[in-house]
Order: sequence, then structure tokens, then C-alpha cells
Amino acid sequence: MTYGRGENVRRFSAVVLVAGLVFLAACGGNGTPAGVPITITLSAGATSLNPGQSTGLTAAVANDSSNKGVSWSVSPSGFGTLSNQTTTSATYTAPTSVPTNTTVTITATSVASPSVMATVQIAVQTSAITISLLLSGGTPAAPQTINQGGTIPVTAKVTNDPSNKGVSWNISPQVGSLTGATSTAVTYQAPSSVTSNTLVTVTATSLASSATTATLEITVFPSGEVAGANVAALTVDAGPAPTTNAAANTPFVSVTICVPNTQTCQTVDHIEVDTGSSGLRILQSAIPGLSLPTLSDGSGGTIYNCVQFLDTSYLWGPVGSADIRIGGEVAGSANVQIVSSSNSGIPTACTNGGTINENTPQLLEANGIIGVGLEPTDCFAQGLVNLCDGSVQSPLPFYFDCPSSGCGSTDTQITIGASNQVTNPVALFSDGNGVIIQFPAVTSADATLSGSLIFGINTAAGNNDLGTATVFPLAGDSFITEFSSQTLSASFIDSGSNALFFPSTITVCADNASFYCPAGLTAESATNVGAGGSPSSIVTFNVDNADSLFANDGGDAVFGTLAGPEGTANSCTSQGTGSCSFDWGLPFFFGRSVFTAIDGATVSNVGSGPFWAY
Amino acid sequence: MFCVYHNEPVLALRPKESGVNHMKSNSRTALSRISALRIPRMSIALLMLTLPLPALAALGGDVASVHEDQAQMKGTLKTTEATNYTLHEIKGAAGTLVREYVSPSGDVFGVAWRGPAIPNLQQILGSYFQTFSDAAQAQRAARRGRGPIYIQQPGLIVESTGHARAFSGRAYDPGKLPQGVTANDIR
Repeated sequence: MTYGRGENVRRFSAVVLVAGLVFLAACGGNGTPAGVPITITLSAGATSLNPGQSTGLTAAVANDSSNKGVSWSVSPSGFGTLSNQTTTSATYTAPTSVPTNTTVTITATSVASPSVMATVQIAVQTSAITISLLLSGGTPAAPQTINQGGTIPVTAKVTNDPSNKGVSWNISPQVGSLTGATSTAVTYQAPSSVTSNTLVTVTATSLASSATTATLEITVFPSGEVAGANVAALTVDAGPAPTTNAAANTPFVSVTICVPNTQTCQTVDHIEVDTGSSGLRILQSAIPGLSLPTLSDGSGGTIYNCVQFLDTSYLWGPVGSADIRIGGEVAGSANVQIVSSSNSGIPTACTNGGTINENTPQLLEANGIIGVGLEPTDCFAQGLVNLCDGSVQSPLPFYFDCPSSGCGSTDTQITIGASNQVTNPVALFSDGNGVIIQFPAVTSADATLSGSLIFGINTAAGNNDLGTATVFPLAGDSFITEFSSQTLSASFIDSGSNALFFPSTITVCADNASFYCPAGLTAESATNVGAGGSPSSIVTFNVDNADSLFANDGGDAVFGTLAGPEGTANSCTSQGTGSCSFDWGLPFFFGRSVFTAIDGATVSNVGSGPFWAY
Repeated sequence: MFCVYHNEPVLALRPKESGVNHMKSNSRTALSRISALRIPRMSIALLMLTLPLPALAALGGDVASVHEDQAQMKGTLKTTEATNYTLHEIKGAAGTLVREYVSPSGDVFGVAWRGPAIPNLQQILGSYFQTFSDAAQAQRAARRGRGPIYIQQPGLIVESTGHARAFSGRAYDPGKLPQGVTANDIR
């Protein structure tokens, strides 16, 4: 006789366990024929669970002539729950709070012969300590700007902290000070004077687990610059992969992304600020700990989004929902694109524009893109014409309905309404009618440049007035630039373009056809004209030799005189065919405040967007 | 094949009907793709080609490849005779206009496009696509940022200009322009 009670045998794979092979001697009762033992084979779908997770359990009972099956129990008693219990199956759910790692034993006992039982062990990991930083009012902390001399109170909410030890606080660099520190709260005191935008990171470290930290980015603005709840700090630098894929003339912001209506958030730096597109597009790899809900088609599939750029690269991934926080602004439950790390299952209708899915920080030269442009979603054209809902044409190849197995190459775009499209987060902010981008003038190439992204135009915030800026009406989200005897009728301002691009006879660089390479610094002049013919204003700018700029850069990422070709000079016709665009990229923003007003949004004292003003 | 077209609204994650204050109402008219076509009445000679579908595609292909591009774009086709070439204009269902320039000997020597989305360049660049794609990726890396495409190779010129919802561009093989045709004819 072998009594193998409690003995676990691994079979086939780690998740299939055979337990408790028990043989009985002659036991004639309960309908079991004498000499034929009942055996139970118990298996679990998973033998390792996190807090709150579930797994199915299955008991295969042999020689159970009365088919009475098994009853279920869990040890330690009360640690988690057994549900959906039948005589052959059950579901085990681990507790949501697990103070220490715990091994749970599930026992299936034969009803016909209670001395026969089988067991399986499931490891339940302890709940990780988490820290959420909150600002006054209990809102999740997002990157802040404050003026010199200002203060910001911060509290730490710590979960799964076994003995409620709380956190310790520190700042880096040592600019300003922390006052009134407790295990759950502190106040950051900015220095009375700074000479330039200064980033300070406040870090809360769990006293129970020093590996667990949370941070808050605070940028202290000097005298003369306006900080506040509707202001974010901008930085132009070489991006998230500076040594291998250095960005040039790309403005970055830090954005806090949260699971909707929760304090489960992650702050991501180096998100490119793009006035030429609409919507937040975040690399999946940049938010590894954040599980955002995705947009269901209502029948098991998921809605995916494709965006194509002028250079024919693209981004592909599911539409997710997130609370987007910058400073004191929040876009609640905004539709975002979660850029897939995988390159499989992308329809040809998305990829056929040309090149590649820029789904890594190296390829994108950013961790994401926040489109703060003229339109409220990525599907609208001026006049709030929705190009994806089927109301005016077959939808653009922007949205796809993919089954859980992924899309196929031949899948085609679907019609989709505005409320399901990737949303310009600014349109959901309290200062939601547009943005201002401010940078100081750039006199020579540099490694970094600090600026401001201000939300709202002429809103109650009081720090975003148009003032004397010239307002340019648009047609087709474009205005007119007159340059070198060309009337470029499809011209535009775009922080997401990294140079001034325009059709010209200036010599193109031999080794890098994206840019111009005049013999030396060349002064140029153009006139911007509102659609319809007015107003107009002259813009002077300089074009330098891009080869020289890049060859001498030594780590520079800010180039005020970088320019390149946009099509062929003197090919633009009055019908708008040919090269009819002057692309006023990031260098145009240097030394200016540039306003971008959203299509259909009301701007007091002006009327409504879309418009540009500077 | 999984459903690729919805006549019913996609379920939203949130109960909010309109997430954007400034947006017009979210009516889902759900036109079928065919009924969404806008077939303009041509005031000039209109020729609907009825040639058999060829294997080759546009640039570098023969005149028959125009028809394949039209089918791929679910578009309408207008053909105009110019002095030194024939212009085939395909208006795609999603609003993008593609112009294909065919020499007297029947070869597609240039293509141009304009519209709210970049057309299927794999289709209309045909055998030139890989050259284009390689060059565009190299240019993207060297640019250290985003901007228009400007590819100037001995056997292929490609320009992509404009911005979101207003793309335009052209591609041609400078060695294959027919006599009397200049690059500025392709636009």
C-alpha cells in the first residue's frame, strides 16, 4: 500500500500538478468496489499569484463510482477565497492585501471517501508598497512650475506599508529646501532667487522599503517668467537617447499619465510637444507599470489607432484611456494612443505610407508625443470636419478594429465617432482653448534651452493674454507665406518640425538633403499673411550651413539657424499644386510667444479658433 | 475575416458622450464606403479605362498599372491628354488625389499626390518603393527630428510636403522624363 497523501508531482509543465495519489485498501463502503482505490488528480491554472489574482482549479477523480467528486478547502483558512465550487472545479482568488509572501495549500477531498485527498500549493506574493504623491486637494502630483520664492505642499499616500512607517523626503539638486517634513507630508520651499528655469526633483522614499520611491518634478522659474497651474516647463535637449539617437530642435515636456479616476500614475519625461498634431501618443515601453484600459469594440476586439507623419514614418497601437496631468491641468479619461512595442499585426493601410513604426525611444527620439495642435482630435480638419466618422468621406486610415489575436495586414479602416478618437488633451483642460509656447532667443547653438508651455489663451488664469500679438486667420489649417516671389498658400507653424523648411534655391547639403548648406550665414526674409489676405507681418531669419552646425555641435541640440528644403523652389501654382508650404518649425519659436488656438474654441476678445498668433 | 466596418457606434470607455467641448455632435452617419464616393461630373473628356489588371504598379510600370492603383484606392479616374504625356487623376475614397503621368510610350514616369492622408506609396511607387523607404529612413535618422522628405537620387526624386490632413508630394525618375516634359509638370 502506498499512501502518497500530500505529495506533489510536476507533470507536463509548471502549472499542472498531480497531487495526492492515494490508494485505499479494501474499503467497500460508499459504493466504491472493494480493491479499486479512488484517486484524485488536482491541477491549478497558475501556481503563483499576485494579490487579488485568481486561478482555476480542476480535480479529476478516478474510480469514483458514485460520482460524488470532491469538496474544497484552503489553508491558511481564510487566506483568499474559493468560489464557483463544483464537485470537480473551483476558483481560488488571492487576498487583495498580502503582508508577507504566503504559500497557500488547496485541498480537494473525496466526498465518497474522505480519507482520500489531493493538494496543490500556490505561492502568493506580498503586496508591493506603493507611494502616490498628492498635491493640495488630494490630486495626483504632476510636474509643477512655481516662481522663485514659492512653496508647494506635498503629501505621500503609502499603501501596503506593513507598520505604517511612511516615507523620508529629499530634493535633488539642493536648490531650495524642504520644511515641515513628516512621514507623510512635506513642503517644498523654492529659493528666493534663481537665474534660469531650474528643475528640482522631490523624492519620497519608503522607510520600510528603500527601493520604493516616488518623485515630483518642480521647475522653479526666475523673476520675469510666469509659473503656475497652467504652465509647464519645456526643455529642448538631445532627448531620451542622447548618445545613440540625439534629437535636435525638439521641445520636450514631462507628463503624468494615470489610470482614469485613480492615483495610479506614472510621470514620463521627454514627451515631444507638437503643435502640428493632436493627441497624446505614449510608448508602451515608457509606461511599463501602468495598465491603461483600452477601447473595446464591444465584441471582444480592440480599437487601434494609426498616425502617419510627413516623413512617412508612423505610430501604431491601441486607443487607451488615461487621465493626463500637467501642472494643475487634467484631461480626464482622455483617449490616447498606446504605441505598441510589437511590430506584428499592423494593417498595410497603416504601414503603406512608407517607412517604420517608431515604437522605441531611439526611433522616436522621444518617449511619446503630445499633440497640442489646432484640432480637437486627430481626425478633424478646419471647420470641425470629421474625416473619420463617415460623414463627409470614407474614413482616413487612422482607426482599425482588431480582434484579440491582432489585426491582419489586409484589415481596413473603420468609421469612428469623435468621442472615440484620440483627443487633443488641451481641449479637455480647464484652460482648454489653446496653448502658448515661449522660448528665449537663441544666438548660438547650445546643448539645452528652457521655455514654457502655457495652457489657455485669454482665460481666467490671467497669465495667457494675447496682448499685442498678431492673430492670423487660417484656411485648411494653413496660412500664407510670401517668400522669394513665391506665394506659399499651404504654410504653417509647427513645433514638431525641427527646422524651418521651405522651397528655395539655397544649396542643399550634399550628405544630408534634409537641410540647407549655404556657404555661410545667410539672411532671409518672408511675410506671413492670414488666410484671406490679412494681416501680414514680416519675419526675418538666418540660415546657416547645417553641416557646419552639426559637425561642430559637440552635443548641441538647439540650433536657431537650421533650415532645409520643402519640395522644389518656384513650383507652387495658384491652384495650390507644387511645393506650396513654408513650414515654420521650432526655430521660429525661439524669441517668441506663439499662440495656437483650437478649432471651434472660444477665445475672449478674439472670437474663435483656429488661429495662430505671435 | 474579422469585422472591418461598423454601422453601430463603437462602445466608449467612458459614459461621457462628448469629451471635447468644442466638437460638433458625434453623429455616426456610417456611410457605406461605396456611397461615400464623390463622383464628380467631368466637364472635360472622361475616359474610364477598361484594361485588364496588370501585375506591375504605378511608377515605372505601364499605363495599365494606373488601373490597379485606382482599384486599390477605391477611386474615380479622370484622364486628360497633355502635349507630351497623359495625366491620369485618381480621386481616392478617403479624399486623397493621386496624379500619374504616362509617357507617349505608355510608361508611368511620375506621380504626385495631395490630400488629408499619405497615399499608399507602396502601391504607387511600385518597384521604386524600397529605394524610397531606405532613403527616407536614413534621412529621418540624419535629420535628428521631424520634417519633410526630400530625396534626390540619380534615379529617384521624392518630395513629401505639408502637414497633418494636408499632405502633398511627388516622385519621379529624372532619367525617364519624356521629351518636352520638365519636373515642374509633375505636381
